[in-house]
Amino acid sequence: MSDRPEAPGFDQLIDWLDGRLSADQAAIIAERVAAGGPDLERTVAWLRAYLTAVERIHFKSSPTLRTRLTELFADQTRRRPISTSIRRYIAELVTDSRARLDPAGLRGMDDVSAPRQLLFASDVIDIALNISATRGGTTLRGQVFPNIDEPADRMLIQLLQDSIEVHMTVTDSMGQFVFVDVPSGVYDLVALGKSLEVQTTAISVDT
Amino acid sequence: MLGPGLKIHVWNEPLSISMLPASTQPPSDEELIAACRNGEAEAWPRMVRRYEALVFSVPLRYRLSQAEAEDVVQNTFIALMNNLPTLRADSNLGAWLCTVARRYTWRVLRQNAREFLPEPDSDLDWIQLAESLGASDAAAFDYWEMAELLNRGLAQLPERCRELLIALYFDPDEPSYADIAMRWGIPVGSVGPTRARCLERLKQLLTDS
Repeated sequence: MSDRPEAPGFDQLIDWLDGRLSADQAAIIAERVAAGGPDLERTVAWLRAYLTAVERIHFKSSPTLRTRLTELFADQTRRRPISTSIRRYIAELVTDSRARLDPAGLRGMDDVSAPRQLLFASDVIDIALNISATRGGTTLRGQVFPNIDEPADRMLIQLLQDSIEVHMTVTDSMGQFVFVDVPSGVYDLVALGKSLEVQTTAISVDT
Repeated sequence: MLGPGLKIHVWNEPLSISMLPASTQPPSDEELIAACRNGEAEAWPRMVRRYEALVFSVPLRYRLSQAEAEDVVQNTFIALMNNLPTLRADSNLGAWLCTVARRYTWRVLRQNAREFLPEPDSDLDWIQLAESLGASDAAAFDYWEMAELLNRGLAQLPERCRELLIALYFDPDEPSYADIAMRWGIPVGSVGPTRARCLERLKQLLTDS
């Protein structure tokens, strides 16, 4: 018969790590854990990692909201898409410095060292973008120019790849923003105003 | 993995989650998107249940209130509804939903002239945490990937287990055992043992995946 103390159960381990035990009970569990084998060690490591992660990650669950969303979905399958208060616009590329050939041949398609300048235009917001190679990678510097009564500062700018955010930032008081160390790829930019969204057509970035 | 009975339906009929044998794996996102597009009644609640907690994590990370967070979650799922016809079937749906949820979160913060600053997380070694939790590929792991990993595990738990673990460990309001017992109409003494069973199941799901 082994002298090794009985291994604590999973529920005891949680209570121990959660700090729900008295000092005496905690000491007993600590002793049993110290005498335990690799399986117990792994379980304790898993629980410690879990408790550390959940301190930072917040979730909620709302049965009421799920019911409301299910009703909305049923409505939508019978009728038209549900309208939202957000207006969406596409900003088309109207200027690309790399696509323009200078008559004197000093700047143009071959001059890849100069920052590439792009201008995207929409009815509501224009977006200027400079793409330049830096030591750490490619830098995108931009500025938003609202054509309507929409403040340029504190706009959320998302850099998307396949509709998924890879970087985001907020414009400064001049409507300027910057993304650094952008890897090669094809991106879209989305600028979000108070009640509108403007998405550019595709931007190709090559380092 | 698709169930063996599914293949005969693929060519001629839209994919239906009701075609899946009861014993099969949960439907993939691609299958759920297809089923939602077909207007299948059971597909949409399943989709919402799968991603509700993850979408909630976005406004909660920016310290929005419960009511504000619910608005963000509702608007995000409405955006998903409206984008179902054009959404790529192989989209990373969790990341897509978080992208949209951040837009709605930012709008709420801007309307209230609040800063768009998430809770700090750079002091944690997410890669090591992910490895300890059983993530198979944790070479580059961050906050959002951890949230997705935990959400994926929780989404596979039975409803009651999932709700209990979210309330006990993830809810920023930190309800007490007594609150939780009252909410579910169970004795306070049964919260601890039920929590242990649910958490052990979550561990099994994450370490076996």
